[in-house]
Amino acid sequence: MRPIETFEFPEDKQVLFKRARRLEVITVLYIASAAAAMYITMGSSQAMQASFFEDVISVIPAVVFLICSRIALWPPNRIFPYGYHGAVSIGYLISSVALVGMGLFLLIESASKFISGERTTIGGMHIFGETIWAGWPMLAAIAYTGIPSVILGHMKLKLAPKLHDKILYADAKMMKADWMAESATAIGVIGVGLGYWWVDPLAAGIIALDILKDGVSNLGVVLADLMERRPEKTDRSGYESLPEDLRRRIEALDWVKEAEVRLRESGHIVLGEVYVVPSKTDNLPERVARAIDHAKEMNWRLHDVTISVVPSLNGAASPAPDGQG
Amino acid sequence: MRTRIAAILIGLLSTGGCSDFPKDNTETLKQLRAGREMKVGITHNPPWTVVAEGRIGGVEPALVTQWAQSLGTKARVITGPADALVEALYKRDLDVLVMGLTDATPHSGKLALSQPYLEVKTHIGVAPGQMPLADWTGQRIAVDPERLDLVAQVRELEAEPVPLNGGAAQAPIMAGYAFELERRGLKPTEDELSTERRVIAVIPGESALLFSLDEFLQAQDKEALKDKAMEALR
Repeated sequence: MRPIETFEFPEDKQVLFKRARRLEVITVLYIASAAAAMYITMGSSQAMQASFFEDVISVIPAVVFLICSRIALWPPNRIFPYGYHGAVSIGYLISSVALVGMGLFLLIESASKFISGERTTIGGMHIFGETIWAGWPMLAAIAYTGIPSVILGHMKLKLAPKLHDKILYADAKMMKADWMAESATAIGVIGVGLGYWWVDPLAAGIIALDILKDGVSNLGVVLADLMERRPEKTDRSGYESLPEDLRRRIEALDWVKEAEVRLRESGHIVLGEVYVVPSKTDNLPERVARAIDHAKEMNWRLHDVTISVVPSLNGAASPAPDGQG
Repeated sequence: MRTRIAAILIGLLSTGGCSDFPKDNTETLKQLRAGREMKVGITHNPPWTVVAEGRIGGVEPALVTQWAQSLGTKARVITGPADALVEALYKRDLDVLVMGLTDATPHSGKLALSQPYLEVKTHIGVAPGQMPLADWTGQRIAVDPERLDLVAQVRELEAEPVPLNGGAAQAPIMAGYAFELERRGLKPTEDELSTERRVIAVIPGESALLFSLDEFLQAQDKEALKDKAMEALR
């Protein structure tokens, strides 16, 4: 077996990648401290308990990113000739499942609370010889856990498309889920304070549905990735134009009459084949080798292509035109 | 989305105002302050609650009576089986429940529990000067037979619980609350049998009522509560 070349991020992306790793380490540390703050103040409030478990689930994508993004860069070998880039998709799958799990958990939680008719009550809390309303320290804990989620989530959401890292993208969504759930908890706590105990499960339920929707759509994308759908933009704004660009670049070569391409994503990188109908056949092996290098220069993600020289492109064996089905 | 949530929060806070915050779901505290009688459910659980021969005593009924007075109303006591009282409280047929509850009560889903007003530990006590044993297996340990949880704790040590008779000569080894052992002239050993955080329950959903109770309980003198408990034990 001939392994593909070892992949390294280009220099400018390496800086971004380091920043992403640093963000994720901060995330893990911060979620751990937030979970501790929740655990201390939660008391008997169901909403606060749910928040605690939610914190525990929300750390999954960050941890998965730290593990899988490292595995993905392991050099290819004879046993894994395509390298370990698939680890990114596996990590993305785990993160999406965690997001779905979080949505389901919150939904069941709030529904069962509604059905059981459990009425949240928030009384006093003794602190430094004073009795204050226990809702205030809860809101402080929520603000502590919620506000950094907004900031970290925003930073990751900007970084993910640049690195084409879908785990990072799912994690940004998880952070969004996190602060939205925190907001629901805050609304619940204030609702209880105003005497409307049912605001608590209602707010949680609505936000659980939104998180579930996010989780399911991420799950759909990762499944399509694993089915090797044509490369899609990380922020899901459409398909990558990489296949068309590559075809044009190859067709621009003076010895090429026409060409077609077939590309697939494997984590951060893109692999695929180019079918070429030559107009000149002298020095063909050299021309093909140069064309491969020429293709790889086009985009850092295009890590390996194979060029097949064929007599014509029509016929059943030829791939369908890009984007046409 | 973010701005919308912020708007909801601000809206909720401003409509609520901060003067009477938190609020009740059904304005129980307001009604009590207006003079409606406070309905208090009670079961026998000495020394916290005592129901004997039509007389009500113990630490918690005294506390609740005082709390009702501070609100400008009177407490009316209703006795009954625990399950029925819990259900009645949930349905708002009672305002307060005193059953010698701890914060570990299995009924917590149907009750709004106060902050612990007293934390008490149970120990085995020996006469001063007597060396505590390393192993209590087979020892005869005096226990108030009415306090079933304490009897169970003694049995867990594989010791033999013997009924404590109030008036008779002092038992050499006895199980009870640390403050109780001290007040009986015994020395609590280091073996801690249990820690109990005593709480009182109100109608769930009534945050103002609960907050008022918590404020009242916080102001209580803990030693006086222990003295009161001691009275109920004699």
